[in-house]
Amino acid sequence: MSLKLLEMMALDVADTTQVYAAFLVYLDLLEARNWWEVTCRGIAELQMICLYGREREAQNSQVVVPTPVSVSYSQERIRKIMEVACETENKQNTPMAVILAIVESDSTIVYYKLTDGFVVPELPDCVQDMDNKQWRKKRRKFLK
Amino acid sequence: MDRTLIPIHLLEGTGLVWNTDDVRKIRQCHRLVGSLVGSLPRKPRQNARLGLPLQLLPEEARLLAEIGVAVLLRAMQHERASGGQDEGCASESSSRQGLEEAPLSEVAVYRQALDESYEEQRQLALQEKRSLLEGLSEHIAQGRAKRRHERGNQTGEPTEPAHQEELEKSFRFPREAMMVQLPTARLAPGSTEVVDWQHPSPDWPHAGQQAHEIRYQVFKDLWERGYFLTSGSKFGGDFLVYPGDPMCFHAHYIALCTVPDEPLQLCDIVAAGRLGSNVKKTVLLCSAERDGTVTYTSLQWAGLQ
Repeated sequence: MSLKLLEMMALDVADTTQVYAAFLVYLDLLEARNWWEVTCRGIAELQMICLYGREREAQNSQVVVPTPVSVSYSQERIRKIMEVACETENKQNTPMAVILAIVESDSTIVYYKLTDGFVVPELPDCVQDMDNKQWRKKRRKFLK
Repeated sequence: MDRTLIPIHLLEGTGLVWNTDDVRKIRQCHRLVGSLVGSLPRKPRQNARLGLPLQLLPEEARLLAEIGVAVLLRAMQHERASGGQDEGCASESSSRQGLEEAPLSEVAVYRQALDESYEEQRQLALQEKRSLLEGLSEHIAQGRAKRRHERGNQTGEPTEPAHQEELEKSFRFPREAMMVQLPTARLAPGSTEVVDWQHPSPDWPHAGQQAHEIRYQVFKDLWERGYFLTSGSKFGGDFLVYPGDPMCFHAHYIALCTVPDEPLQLCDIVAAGRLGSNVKKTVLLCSAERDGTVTYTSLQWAGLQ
């Protein structure tokens, strides 16, 4: 058994499914997504293990909340998680935000970002879109 | 009743606005959109463009009533017609008889009006034909004379069919060519009664329902922040939130309203987030406390590479 998993279990704050989910997310962040300085922290108030790390070396630390897909959350609970997990981050000028890492039993992980307040979506007509395959196909059709 | 208030006619809990000026006022002055649901009289076999009435969300209708620019009404007549079944047996037979008589006489009156209109239109068409013939009489006479000349004066006396009586007899005005007026507004509005939106009733069942109260608090808060809102059913949410008039802008947010302590399945959150990112909108988890404070949490797919 991995030392990290044993360490997470030793924190003794969450049930085993959440610990296992946290461990899988930890591996995914480090091994598949090359995150920097990923640490885990047991938060007794939430009975959860949260992960903290940086996506790129130059970027700020982000909060990742690992959770098995079978759990359901009320909006109250989501707000609570955001408040408690972001407490240590002390970023004054940015709205609190966490990344929800949802873990399937086959270890598929999807990441969703939760941010307090309104986040304007990216513009639909940005340059990146004009470059994609569909757009090129469309353009070719019109040029014919 | 105050004349300046916009009348919103309720039909089984749905608010409808039947006046064009009111519809424009609701959109331009109060930033509420609603949706046009009526068929256009001139283009009935399509649904890309629709006309009156304007159907309002319960939240839109309530907001207009609450800020004091509109009044919710219910039709008295409608109630009497549909409520007939609930009455006792004795009164039922008499009321049914009354119901049968009324439409019959109405039909007769309508038919009579049609007949009168037909006769009037026939006379007008006849007059027009007569003046047309008069205007062309010289031309016709010339043509006849020419033909006669060509045939070498075989027939002798020219026939003159253009007599007034003969024309009147031979003139045919087909009934299909008659114009029929289709009224686009009610000539005689039925009697109505004001409905109190603060208390639940058959015409306004929303009052006091938790889902409605939460949706309304969120709706009002977003509206006060200057956003335009429409129904969110297109994207599986409660509302679509636009930064300006929906004619000019794409929606920025899909608002999902839930009770603060109601559990949300994670797969539902994933589904909402995935759909939102596909249509380039942010999913907004909205919740309202009893004291009226509304919290918003933006949900977006985090495309970690």
